[in-house]
Amino acid sequence: MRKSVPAPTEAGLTRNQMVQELARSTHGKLEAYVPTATRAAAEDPEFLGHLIAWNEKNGQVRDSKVALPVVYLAKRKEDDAELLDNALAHMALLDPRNLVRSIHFAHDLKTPGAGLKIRRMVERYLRAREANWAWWERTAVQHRGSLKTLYAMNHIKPNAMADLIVMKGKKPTGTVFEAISQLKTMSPLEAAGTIITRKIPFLIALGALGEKAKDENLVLALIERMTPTELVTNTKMLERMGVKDKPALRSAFEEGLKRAAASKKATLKTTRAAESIDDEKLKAKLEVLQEKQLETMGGVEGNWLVLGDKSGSMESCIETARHIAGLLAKMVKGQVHLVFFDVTPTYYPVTGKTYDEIKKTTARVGANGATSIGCGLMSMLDRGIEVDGIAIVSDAEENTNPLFSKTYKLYSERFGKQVPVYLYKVGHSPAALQQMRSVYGLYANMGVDTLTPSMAADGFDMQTFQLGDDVDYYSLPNLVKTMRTQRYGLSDEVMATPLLTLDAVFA
Amino acid sequence: MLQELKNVNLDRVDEEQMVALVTFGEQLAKSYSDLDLVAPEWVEEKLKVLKRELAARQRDNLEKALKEVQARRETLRTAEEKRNDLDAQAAKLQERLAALTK
Repeated sequence: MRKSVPAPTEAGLTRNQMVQELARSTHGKLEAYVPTATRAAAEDPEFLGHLIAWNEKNGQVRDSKVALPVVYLAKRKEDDAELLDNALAHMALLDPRNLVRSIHFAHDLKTPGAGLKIRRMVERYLRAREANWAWWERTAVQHRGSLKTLYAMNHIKPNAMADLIVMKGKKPTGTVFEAISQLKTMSPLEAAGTIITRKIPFLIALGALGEKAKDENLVLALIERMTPTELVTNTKMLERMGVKDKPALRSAFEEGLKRAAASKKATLKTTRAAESIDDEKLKAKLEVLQEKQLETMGGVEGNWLVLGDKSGSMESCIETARHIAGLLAKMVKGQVHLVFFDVTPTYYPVTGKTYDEIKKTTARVGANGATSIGCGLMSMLDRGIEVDGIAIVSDAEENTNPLFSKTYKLYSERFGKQVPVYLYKVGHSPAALQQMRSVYGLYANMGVDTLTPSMAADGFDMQTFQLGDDVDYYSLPNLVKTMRTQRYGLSDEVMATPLLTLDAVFA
Repeated sequence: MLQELKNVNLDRVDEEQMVALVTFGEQLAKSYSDLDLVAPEWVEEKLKVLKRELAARQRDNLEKALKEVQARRETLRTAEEKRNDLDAQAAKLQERLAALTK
């Protein structure tokens, strides 16, 4: 292990904050990672290096895998050969389309002293594929345009085959490229067989088939070639194509769901897909799939308490708390307790329950009243329930006793441990603020976070996830996944992830 | 397991779970019989539902496998076989045309 750089002080960015900030989905905006990653590159470059490696293995957000290595290259303060190699190696793990994105991003950010290294990495990337026909063919089938860009923008001379297929667009006899071009003229049965035997990717086959893709034999072949993400995001289309009614398609879909259940990639998209499906049977299947994917995600352990704020105008807190409780209930083997509070707590044991079940049980919880986060924890103290971690979902505007920090002190003394506290901070939209003013008038500390300073004043640590006034529910699994029952557990996990080298990638 | 069997929803269980539930249900029925007790009606009913669904899924799987094999076989047809097929199709069409023009 390399000599560790000390973690930043409270004035800087903590390691947990770095991970949590970078676990968010930015929906394609790579530049959104720049502020946090820039600070990380300056304050704790070694941690950022390991975080890039950890994120590659555990992260669900592809954009962060594209952006982080580039931000490191652009914002590094000094040349550290090992960290530089690690960043380049993670760029080399990207598929051609995302490698092109990362290079464009690198051009935008400017990577002084790394431009030539990036170019050399791209050359090795292309040559490694050229040297292995099966790998090159597989890559070129899906990413011909991106490969062309990589050759051209880096002035790399392609080998003869790459020149013929990628640059000149030819389809040599006997290759998969020829087979793809002939799919349209084949009989549906032959086209289906070709897709299966030549392992033609779903999107490429779908594009080549056109209208013909509706034939049952072809739908079957297409399902076989779908990735887990493609399966869940195309469920609606498959529904139209008869996946519910035709026996062979039904079986192929079931088999696809089994493959997807083991995937760690599509969790967020499964939620979205389930919501867009009208058919109750398919919806149920996708919901079950999501539950299985959450169980596969793992990472979080122990017994958890979710404190959901139901004080005035906190409807989004109620919904967010239900989601977080549902996620924890699926991810952890321990117990999960949900408490909604204004100035009095309402307790719901939710261990093992799904989000839908929690929603039904808590359907009558409405937002009104003042805020005492401490009363939620006090109810656990009264019941003698011991937990290993606490997630608070609130605007953090605590204005009524018992205050959380005081109750937390009592709780810690009672059970002899200070469990980690995570605040999912929900903001108020201007409309909600307006409504609060009209209902409650102006009151002391309106719009002011009183929880964070009171925790700090009492010397307690608390991690905060800023959710804003428009909560992105699809990002929640990523955030929940980073919660640990040991304060520095996640940071240790990240540091234990080995750095990657270019030689290992191209070995 | 008892609750799972009682409340089984066929859209939320896979084959593995169904087989486990059938095994449990049969064991449950046997225990009632061994104890000289009458098993509740729902046990038999749920077992029937699960077995019917398993059989249906098995049929689906076989249909899928057959279609796949047929599709793979189609890619192995020689040009000669394809030509013969087309000749046969052309001959049939000519026959039908001839019948219409008579």
